[in-house]
Amino acid sequence: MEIWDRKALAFAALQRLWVAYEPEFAEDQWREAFAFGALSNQQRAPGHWYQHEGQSGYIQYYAVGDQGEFHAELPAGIDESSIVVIPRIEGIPSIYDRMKGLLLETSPTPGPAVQSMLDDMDELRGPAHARRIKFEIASGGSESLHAGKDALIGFLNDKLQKLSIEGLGQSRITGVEVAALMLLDSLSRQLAAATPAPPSSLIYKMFDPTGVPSLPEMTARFIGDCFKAGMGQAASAAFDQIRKGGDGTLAAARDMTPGDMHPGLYLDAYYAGLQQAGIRFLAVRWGWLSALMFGGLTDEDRERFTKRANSAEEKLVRMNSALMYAVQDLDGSRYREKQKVIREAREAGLAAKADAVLFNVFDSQMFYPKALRDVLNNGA
Amino acid sequence: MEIPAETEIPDKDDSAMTPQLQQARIAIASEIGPDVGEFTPADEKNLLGEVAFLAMAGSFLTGFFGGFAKAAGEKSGERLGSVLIDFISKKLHGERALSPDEQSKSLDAAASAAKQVALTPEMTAAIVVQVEKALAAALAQQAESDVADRVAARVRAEAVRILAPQVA
Repeated sequence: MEIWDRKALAFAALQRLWVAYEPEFAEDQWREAFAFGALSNQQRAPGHWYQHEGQSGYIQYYAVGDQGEFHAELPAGIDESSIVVIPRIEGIPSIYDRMKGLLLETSPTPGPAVQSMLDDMDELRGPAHARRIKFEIASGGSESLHAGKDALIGFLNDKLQKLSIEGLGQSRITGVEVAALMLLDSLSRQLAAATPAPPSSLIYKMFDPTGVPSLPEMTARFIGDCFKAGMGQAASAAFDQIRKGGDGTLAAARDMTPGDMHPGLYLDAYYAGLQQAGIRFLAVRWGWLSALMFGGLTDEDRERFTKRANSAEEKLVRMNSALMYAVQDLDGSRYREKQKVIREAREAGLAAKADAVLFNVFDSQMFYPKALRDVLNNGA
Repeated sequence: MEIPAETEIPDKDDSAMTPQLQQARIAIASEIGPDVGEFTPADEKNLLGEVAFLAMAGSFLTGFFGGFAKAAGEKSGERLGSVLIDFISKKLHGERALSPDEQSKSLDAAASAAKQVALTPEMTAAIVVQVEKALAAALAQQAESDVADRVAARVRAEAVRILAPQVA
């Protein structure tokens, strides 16, 4: 592979992580990963409990590695003095810095295309972005609504198609915003098909930009409006449609075979699939959490919605971890580490240990597509 | 489900379980994969190692074997319906209260009991379909029904490989 291609893959992996949720979130995750990586091998060994310097809560790190679970309180039986404090490290180049650096390495004097990419990145992390996207969807949606329900559905679908792939890949929208748009798209379809039809005033509330700072907040408020208007069932169906889409997208990515693709491009396509699945789970979680804000739910509904939100979050966390892992494994070093652990375990007759690593890598964390299981297991 | 105290990677294969059962558990755990949150309480996070996944997979398999033995013990042709769903549901809850070691023993015992049921291949085929549906319904008490159906189908496939390979 050409050096330029390697840089392009590195840029793609970083950018995918940066926009998957939103830049600020990714940068925090990035800093924490660096700080963890700076600990000694012994401190990073499985089985420890951690705390980030200056933060509350504890992280339980499981034996197989790459997994952690947050606990607000330290469970009974864990010795506080054994907690490894992960120090705050200053001066780590941000994801943004790395992306910008890669772009300028390939194009020291940025031409219009590279300059446009840099401008989009700056806009995405700037203070005016959330408001711009909110108004773009609100004004376009309101206009299309005047032309009828079909026009509205068409507008949302077109916007979603364009922004969820191209817009996301060009740093023009965040994953959280795509998730909100996805919810509006699915809600508009379910409301249009609902029997009895929703109150005529409801649909106009979908694009009310006043009093909310962002598209996700505008969407959350509209979900509440749907429940208030007795359209909770349609809203629930909208979330479930997205959830099924997420499950399908995830399954397709995991089952993807390499064919004739270069390994780097194959993994790039796999992680792109995970990102798309993750955005769907983000939408589902946001949908159920928004619904939970409605005061008129029964206890049973509340329990069910909480459960759905949590289930989506579990998947989302895994997608996001895999996108971070993709960046860390760009040079294949993580892959080789895991291969070594598996090989040594097999040589020592520790089949359960080898299987545990494989299970973690492919089934729990989904760091690689299933097609690589035998390859990793057999040491190729 | 309780978070198992054991979080270390096993350094040796010391389970009394047969390799066939171990493989079945792994295959089911793999099917559960990222859907693990569907089968656990809302306030529980499942970013655990493989031990908890295997315990969950084992409990599903135990529930299936238990349901199979119960259904096979009923009068021929009698459909158990909700009785079987309740039976499996209680079994699953009971299994979750056990330690991983106790669960392994329970799975081993359930598999042995189910194997001892003497049925024709046709009867076995009919009963496993009934048990799969009951398991799916029991799992759907917590999970989305499409996810429950998919996992139950995998449990059936793995269970049948052990009970009656000729039916698989």
